[in-house]
Amino acid sequence: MVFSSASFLFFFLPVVLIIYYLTPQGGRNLVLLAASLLFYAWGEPVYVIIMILSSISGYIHGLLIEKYQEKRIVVIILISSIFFSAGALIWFKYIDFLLFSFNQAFGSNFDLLHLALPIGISFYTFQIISYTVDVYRRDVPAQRDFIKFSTYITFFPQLIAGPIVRYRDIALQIDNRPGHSFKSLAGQTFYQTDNLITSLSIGIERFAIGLAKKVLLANNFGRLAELMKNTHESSMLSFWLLAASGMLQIYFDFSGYSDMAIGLGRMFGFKFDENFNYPLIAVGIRDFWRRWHISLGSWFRDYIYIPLGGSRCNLIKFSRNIIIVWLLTGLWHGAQWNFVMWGLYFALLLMGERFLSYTGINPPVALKHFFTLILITISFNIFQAENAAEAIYAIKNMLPGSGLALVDTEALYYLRSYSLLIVIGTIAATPLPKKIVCKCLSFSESENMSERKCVLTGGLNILKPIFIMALLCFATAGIVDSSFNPFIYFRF
Amino acid sequence: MNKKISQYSLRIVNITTIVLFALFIYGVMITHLLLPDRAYSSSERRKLTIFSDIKPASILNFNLSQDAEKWLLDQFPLRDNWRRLSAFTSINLFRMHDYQSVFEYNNRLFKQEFPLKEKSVIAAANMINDFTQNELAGLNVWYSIIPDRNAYLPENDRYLRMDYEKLNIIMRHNTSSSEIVISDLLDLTDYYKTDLHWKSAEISDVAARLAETMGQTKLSNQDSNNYISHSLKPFYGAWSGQYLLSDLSDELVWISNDKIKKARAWYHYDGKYDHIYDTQALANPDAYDLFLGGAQPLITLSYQTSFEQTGSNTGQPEDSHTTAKYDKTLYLFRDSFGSSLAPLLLDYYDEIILIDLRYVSAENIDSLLDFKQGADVLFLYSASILNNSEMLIR
Repeated sequence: MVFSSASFLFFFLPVVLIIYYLTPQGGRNLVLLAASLLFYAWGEPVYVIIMILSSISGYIHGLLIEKYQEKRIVVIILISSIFFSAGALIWFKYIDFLLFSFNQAFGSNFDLLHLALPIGISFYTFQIISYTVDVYRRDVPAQRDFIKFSTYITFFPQLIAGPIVRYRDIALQIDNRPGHSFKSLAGQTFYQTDNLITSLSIGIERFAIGLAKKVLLANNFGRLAELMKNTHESSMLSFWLLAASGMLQIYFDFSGYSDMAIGLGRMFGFKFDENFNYPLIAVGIRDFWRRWHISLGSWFRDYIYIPLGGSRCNLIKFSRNIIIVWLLTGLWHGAQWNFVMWGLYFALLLMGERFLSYTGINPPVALKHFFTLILITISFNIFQAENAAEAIYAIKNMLPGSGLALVDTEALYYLRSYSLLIVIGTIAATPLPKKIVCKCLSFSESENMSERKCVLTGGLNILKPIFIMALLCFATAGIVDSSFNPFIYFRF
Repeated sequence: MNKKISQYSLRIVNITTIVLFALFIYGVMITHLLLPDRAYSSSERRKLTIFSDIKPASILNFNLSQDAEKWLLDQFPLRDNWRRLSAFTSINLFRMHDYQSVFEYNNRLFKQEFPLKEKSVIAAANMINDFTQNELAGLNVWYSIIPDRNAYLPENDRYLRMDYEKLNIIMRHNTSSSEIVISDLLDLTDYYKTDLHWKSAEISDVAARLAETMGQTKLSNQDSNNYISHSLKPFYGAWSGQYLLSDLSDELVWISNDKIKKARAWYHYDGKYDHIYDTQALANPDAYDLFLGGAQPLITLSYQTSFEQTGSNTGQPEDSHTTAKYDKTLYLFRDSFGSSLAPLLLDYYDEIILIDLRYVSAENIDSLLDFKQGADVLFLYSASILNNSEMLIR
């Protein structure tokens, strides 16, 4: 089930919300677990078993690591934990890629297995690994309650598209979050209703923004990318449009899903960390990766890069570390050689950036923005390609000297047709709209705020629910329209 | 004090947000469950998925979730209004030039036909050649291309327009049959505003050009110019339901004379005779079905005196289509445009056999028809069909 579907938005979510809030506090994690398993099984009726087995493995390994923390065997338990979690990921995601590459390299003829990839396996595997490693490092105690542990692993808002939530970040929230009651020192029971209302409202707002990003922006940019991919004429413009629309599609799609996940988390009282921070305004590749898919970047930083030695080492080791991390980052996104290329592309850029910093050259910020954006745009042609050859072909055709015309009729038509959407998308990818909205809607914390200003900002705030509902309505229209399927016998 | 007002106001905003959101999602859910399923969408001209189409047995092969989603979306409350809002978003908010490839220009709706698929056009030409050299050997074979309405759009960069001139050239270079040019007889006003088809009341000159070029003259004792017009208003063409943002409509006009009134259509696959114009079809989702019943693989139009005697609408007359003798026969390989043109050719032919290669293969035609020597053959296809010739079954 995806968030931008009628079954989720108008059936699953309303039913789960009502059951969740009608259930006493002690049973709410169980409600979330049951809902998450149903959410997953709705689209993956068979592979839900893999997820349950992975959760059991993570749970048991966590307990064992904690129990034998003082003994040498703990290392073996940790390796076993990583082996079981990563093993499932490698088997389902990479086995065909490995067989194919082996066949290509050695001329062998092993049959490919063509296994379907279980949805979200890359995300929940990384969550389980981070949990067992954190328990091993004694950053967090092991979770003894299987229901609570499974709720963390399978929690549906972040299950299929992240963010990769660390157990240590939400361990406390599993027990205590808005809407839950607490006892005062005098023994009276209070309910965190104020927090609950704020949390629900923020969650709805965030979900609506994410849904609109996905349905109104990402889907339309996806359509443009598809048109440019299947264009009948080719020009430099069509390849640049393909890269730019693909980049905007992936950005709004992924960050939209993250927004929805964060919003849904808030609706159930959880507070997830941000996963995107306007990556397209980055002033360098390093800056870009601090802003793009933050939870993945920080996962690789904390569990691979820093254990390898990070950047505080000599240039050779630093290069080795960067290459390993970015090779893995590329492969995490997909089991194809173009993703390996994509990862190595960023490794090279990061090494180049580091080299540049040694030279003391410090270009103007505008130039940094410009080149970063160009390099990132090019990277998305590698990302979107079906294979490495297609990626090279696309990049070659983006550059002068490819022999292609500068523009063609079709690309020009779609550039004009989508021009406003491109402008809207570009602005929406910057903090400008948020800044404007915050400026208009912010409540001054200052005690001496004038009464007039107070009434004005209060009045503007009233527009917020209307804006949220408008976003939901436009997004719903897009969802319903996705089923448009006319029978056009008389087309001809 | 002001801070307290602010916090109070913020609380009101938060509660309003929650209430509106709850009303929206629970409202849609309850309405969806309460409203009865609709079986058909007239704007999309297709069957809608109903609840009983969902097969619980398909749970293990992912079809359950897909079928359920299809049902939810097809039966979504106020579905066409949501689709209209989506079209509004594309055209009015994002200022896109087309919505689902349909666009409005000068109070007319158009559907993009782009680009020119040269291989497809060559394949269509080869198919005509193949027929001409085999099944139709010895017959007088002609072909004619019906230009799309888009061909009459002025050339500018507001829309994508395929190269119609090149299509004509490809057909000329690759077809051994003679061409009958009709594009000079047509302009945009000869087509509906909301549909791709031409108006039957405006194409008698096209019928005359085709028949006369094939060497036919009007049959004797006919006063065929005395056409009587009939009409249906409003008529919403295929693009209306697709575009949804326009309130444009047309008047569906059909013309008849004595000959057309007395003639009958024999639907080979249905095994029945009927009038040339099936006025009952005006109640169909697509009123264009009036012209020879819409999608039909094989139809014979003919005039028989026994119809006058029996006054039958659907019964099979004594001398059936298989035994009657006709002097002038036309085999018309056609698409849906041919349905509205063929009745007008009855002034020149006393038997017209319409073959739609989208629904019948050449092998089947061989078993159903025995091509008469001396008959005329016309391949009459719209440019769109030639550009998508894979749908013609050979």
